[in-house]
Amino acid sequence: MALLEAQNVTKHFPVSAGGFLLKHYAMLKAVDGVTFSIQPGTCFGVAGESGSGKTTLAKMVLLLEKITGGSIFFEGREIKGFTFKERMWYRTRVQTIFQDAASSLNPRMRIKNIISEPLVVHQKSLSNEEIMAKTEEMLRLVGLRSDHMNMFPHELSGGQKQRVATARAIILEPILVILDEPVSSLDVSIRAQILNLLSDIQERQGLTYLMISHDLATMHHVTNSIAVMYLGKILEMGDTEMVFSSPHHPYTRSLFAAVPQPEPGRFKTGPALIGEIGNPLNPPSGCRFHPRCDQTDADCREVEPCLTEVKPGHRVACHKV
Amino acid sequence: MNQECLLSVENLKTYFFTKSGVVKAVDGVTFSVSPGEALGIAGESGSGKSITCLSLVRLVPQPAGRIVGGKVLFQGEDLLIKKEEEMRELRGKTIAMILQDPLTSLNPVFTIGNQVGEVFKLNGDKKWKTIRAKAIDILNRVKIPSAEQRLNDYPFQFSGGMRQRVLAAVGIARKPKLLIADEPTTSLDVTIQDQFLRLLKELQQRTEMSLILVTHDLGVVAETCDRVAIMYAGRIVEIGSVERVYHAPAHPYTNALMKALPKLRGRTKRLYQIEGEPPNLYDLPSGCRFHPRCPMAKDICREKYPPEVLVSGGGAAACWLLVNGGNHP
Repeated sequence: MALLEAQNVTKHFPVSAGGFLLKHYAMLKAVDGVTFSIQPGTCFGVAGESGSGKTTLAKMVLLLEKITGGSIFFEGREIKGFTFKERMWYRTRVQTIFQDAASSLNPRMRIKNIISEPLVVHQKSLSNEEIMAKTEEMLRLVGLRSDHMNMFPHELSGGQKQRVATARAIILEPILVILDEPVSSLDVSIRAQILNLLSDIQERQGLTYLMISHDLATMHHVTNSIAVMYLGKILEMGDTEMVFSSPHHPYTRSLFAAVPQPEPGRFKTGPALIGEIGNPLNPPSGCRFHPRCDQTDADCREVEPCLTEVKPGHRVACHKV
Repeated sequence: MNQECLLSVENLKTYFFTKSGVVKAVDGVTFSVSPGEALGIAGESGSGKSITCLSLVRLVPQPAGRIVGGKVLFQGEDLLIKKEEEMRELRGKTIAMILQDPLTSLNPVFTIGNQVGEVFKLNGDKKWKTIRAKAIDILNRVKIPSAEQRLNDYPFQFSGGMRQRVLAAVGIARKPKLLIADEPTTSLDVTIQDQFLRLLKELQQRTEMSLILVTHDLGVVAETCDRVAIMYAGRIVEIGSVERVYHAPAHPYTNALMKALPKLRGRTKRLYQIEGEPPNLYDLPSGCRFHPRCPMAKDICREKYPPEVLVSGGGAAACWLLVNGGNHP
């Protein structure tokens, strides 16, 4: 059974569109009908440019944004209708590591208090000694020394802060961890350390990851399956190896071609992708990618393609495939 | 240095004098740029790559930052001893700059046409009509769609990629000999970054200006530059043609960086990782600055900074392993 299942999930934000006494609202469709499932023990990646809705999707899974349509099931239970008690339980099972570790750590708290806070909130029966013992164990697990315990976040480097955020996320022994751009704020030489740490922890604790990123090269290394989002829709989804070795959707192909590669002498094939990501308030009709696509015809402009299987475990939403 | 260099930087040192000590942000940097060449300066945050560029045009944040030594020879003249008025004349006209964040580089209360036109006004154009026509022409050259209508728009009405194009237009408007781009695509999405880098390359080749591209992304350097300088803790550790540095890195740091990069092709389960963290600039390690993280460090690396050694295949690297065939105690 899938650990997390999203069925036709939508998130529409009302945006003021003028009006004096009676305000008019337009709907910003940040996420618009997304369906996927995550198997336990795997890493599922959501890739996309800014404005594709990938972070909104993660926030809905974390119950930080209300789901406006569709449903998300965690271990077979729908998360939308959770009561307060159920939410508390859910939060011991699902944790997150945010993009910018520096701003997700309270600057006035010591590292030991930051890491142990989830235990203090969720496991009230534990004694102080037990909490500290557990905190120290986590600290060692993420590769920090015990003299970091009494420091404040500003005394740590970027990579160390990311390690603290990781320790805080796994101290409750959750089953699903959401990684929102976990390494994009880090330097190249630190990135590999954190990515290796995350995969070590995954193996050790049997974790499942949902990783949000715009960095395709990182995704290629970390994820087992991947979904490519564009303007709130999934355009291509499947096993990472399959998607990277034979991308079918024109957007996925041009996205891969656009990534600068550290291979000098590799000449770019084909022209650059034209235009920019559309307006989510008024997305293009039909296929959302059609204004930037070089294979557009009448069908693409009018009919919205749905995800169809091209191979077992590889689905694409395009009329041309 | 030879006469053909457009820019030659010799032993440049820029220090920051702060309450908690002296930060040697740039500590003895030497490189040169030939006419029409694209040089990439790559490094992690804090390696001094941006400060190197700001030092070239003498825009180091005052009063903490000071250029304490070295020479910046531009067409044979030392920029560091020029008067401020002469530098003003130079900036924008012969040396132009594009900065990382296009929104903070543009004034939010003036229209794009106004800000692009200002460049031509400075250049001596007086007639409003010619300024406007030139502004439209330059915006067309950086491929801004329907440039004529967009002249009256404000920066907030432009997308990130378009704003960066406007800055590129301002940069190339006075046909500079050298364009310095400091992380020009860091705030852009990959597909937009691709568009902008292609445009930059095209402009550079057509106008035959030299380009210094500062970035942390080694992929961007590989696709845009002819030569690359890798910086670490205020020094250039390796410099050479992009092909040579990427395919046969001589310095252990460059080598480790290349291995640590996740790539689109060729997936490995575990990435090669560089141990440790970049050094604290207040308290730099003795000798070679990379030695605490270097797997091949020897005693001499802890004691003395290595000299620059020419590398077969072109370029140079600063590492003791390249001196005497690496035979040190």
